[in-house]
Amino acid sequence: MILSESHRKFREKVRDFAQNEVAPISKKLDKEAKFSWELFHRMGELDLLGIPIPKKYGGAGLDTLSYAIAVEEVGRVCGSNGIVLAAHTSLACYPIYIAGNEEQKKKWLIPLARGEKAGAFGLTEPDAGSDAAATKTTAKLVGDKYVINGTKRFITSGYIGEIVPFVATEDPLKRHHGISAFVVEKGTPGFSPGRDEDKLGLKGSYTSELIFEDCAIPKENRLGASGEGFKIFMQTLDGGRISIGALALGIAQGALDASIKYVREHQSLKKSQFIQGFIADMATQIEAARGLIYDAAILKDRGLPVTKESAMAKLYASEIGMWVCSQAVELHGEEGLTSKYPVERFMRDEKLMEIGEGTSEIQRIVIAKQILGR
Amino acid sequence: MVPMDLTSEQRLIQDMVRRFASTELQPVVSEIDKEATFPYEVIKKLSELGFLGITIPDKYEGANLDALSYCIIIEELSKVCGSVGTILIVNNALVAYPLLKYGRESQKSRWLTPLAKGEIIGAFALTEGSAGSDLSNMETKAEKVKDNYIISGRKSLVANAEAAGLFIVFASTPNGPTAFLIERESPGFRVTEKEDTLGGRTSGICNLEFKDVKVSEDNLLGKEGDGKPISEEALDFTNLGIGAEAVGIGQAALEDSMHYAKERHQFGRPICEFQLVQDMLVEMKLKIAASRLLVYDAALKCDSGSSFATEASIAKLSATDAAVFAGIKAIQVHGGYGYIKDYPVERYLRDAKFAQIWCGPSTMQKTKIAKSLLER
Repeated sequence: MILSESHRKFREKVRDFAQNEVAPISKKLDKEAKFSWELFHRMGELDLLGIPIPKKYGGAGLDTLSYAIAVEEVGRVCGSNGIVLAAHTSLACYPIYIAGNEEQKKKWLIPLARGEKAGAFGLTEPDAGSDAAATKTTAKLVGDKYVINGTKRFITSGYIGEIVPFVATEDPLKRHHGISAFVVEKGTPGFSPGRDEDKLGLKGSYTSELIFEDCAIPKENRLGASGEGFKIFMQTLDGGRISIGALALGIAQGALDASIKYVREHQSLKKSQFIQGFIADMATQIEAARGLIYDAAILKDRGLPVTKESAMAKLYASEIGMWVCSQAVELHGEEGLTSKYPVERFMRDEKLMEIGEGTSEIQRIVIAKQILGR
Repeated sequence: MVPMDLTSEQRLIQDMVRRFASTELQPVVSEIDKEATFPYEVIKKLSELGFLGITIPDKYEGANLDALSYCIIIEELSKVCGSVGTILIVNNALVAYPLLKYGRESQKSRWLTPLAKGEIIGAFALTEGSAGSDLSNMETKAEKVKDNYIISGRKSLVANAEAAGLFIVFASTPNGPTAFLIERESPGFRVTEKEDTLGGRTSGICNLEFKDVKVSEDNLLGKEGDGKPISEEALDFTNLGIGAEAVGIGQAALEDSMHYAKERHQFGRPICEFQLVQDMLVEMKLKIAASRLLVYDAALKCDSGSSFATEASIAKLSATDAAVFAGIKAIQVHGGYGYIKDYPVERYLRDAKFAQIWCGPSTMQKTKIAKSLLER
């Protein structure tokens, strides 16, 4: 894939930041399971937290391809900061961008896209994972307020989210059609983060519960029409697929980078055809994944439907990514099992890519439906 | 020829170990993995049951069991904690086995009984940082000075090192790689830093340092230059054990996934009813079941007295790949829950990865197997 001059320049800019500012502390962040506010603010300063959001709404006004490139470059050195970036943009900014009115966009999208506030997206619940429509969190209209009750789980940046779009049902009997989307701000009485998870990987990011206990929000906080929530979150996830695919790609590229470096430093490995085979397969699969992702991004930027393509991109990138990272650990031998090399961290980070924002199984169903029809 | 059924004695052992693992090991495994603590208590209790010296003859107060029983024990323990499987493999395959094959009677009577009784833990120190397990490239040297050897060098990522009292250490001499028996208290010998590893976290993996350690020639294992056959034969029996360990880890991954898939409801039904979930369970089963047969096949060959090196290598390669696959799919079946430490499945992946790489990753096994295929 040949990128334009501007895309190449943009990649250089993000790579520069990632390699010089993120990479040096990524190991430490993982070991200490620490979120970095410094890096979050730096990403904001560099206009990286709302890349595809129009400038009018505080974003960089760039295209989806640029966004995918940015996520890839950050993921290449640090999965945790990659997911912080991707979730902030695709999951927090995006629902407000597609469904918010002008006032809502001004109030919330601008500070989010500028990176002035941290965002999170309250969709998943203990019993609503792949079946996201099984939302149990309720929203009851009482006078001019919605009263929210329920618990969200596994929310990226949930612990620190200051502007949080989320979904709740106004009428469980209506299933999909009863769901509405809202925004809540940190500090609202009755809204608080809950437990933060101890995870296999992505330890430099928060993955938390959100607890709503008779949380009253103004009815103006609803995004879109009543009952439109399902459509909004499906569109959000649709868009998010490309960025998660890009993150999976980035992490895999990081694992390949490390493997190439290791092989070059060990002559006996370089001569081994087994190793040559591994490197060739890893590199080829990564290129194929990159093609799928960039293709989906370009289609999206042309305003074309990308449901199938984005699902394919996410599915493929995350599955080959998992193999690439696992292979990279083995290639480093016993030392690959320690934090002397970044590959075991990449492997741990990569596993979530097959699960978050639609499991591989869900992606398969989406793709098949697109191909076979209903 | 793989038996259709285990003997009644083997079944008894399997039951005993399964019960032990469930009552003594299960309650502590999550904590010890998190803290990376060596499970002294569990090892002590295992030794009281006689399972620490699985293949040590009863002359030395070992359990005197066959290779297949060794595999069964390792599998059952590893189902709950792969690291405990590792600890036992080191003790039996990497320390007791070489002692039995190459040790003088004085060495055997000195060490085998304490090893069998758990009074002393053994460790095997061959790997050195980037030289890996390349015997011809070792930096650790042994210089003969009168009746002693002076040993200097470093070893890395030695399992059991945290708790071991006896170390089989490989060093190069003018006559080639040589194995030595070194006690923990030896002056100049230090167990240095403990390694924080992805998996196998509770097998006390540490680095070692030797600074002019004086070792009497009485502590030479075999003779000078025997390092290669000693390590190769030990690694064969080790591969067998790791194969069993991986089958255990894979089996645990499968069973937890089956259980979870029945309990977890989405879209109004248990997720085990979805074919894409069934697909994962079936693929796990295929790989693990096939690997178990390969492990048993290698064990039976070993018990029959014939060469089992290739079969053990095949078993190790197949089973560890199967276990890594199972670990990945088990997390997948569990969804978001599989990614958090409240559930054991993420640990299965980490321990499977350790087993896959420890004592020779796939490239090493493939080279070995190819050589054997082409020699015939």
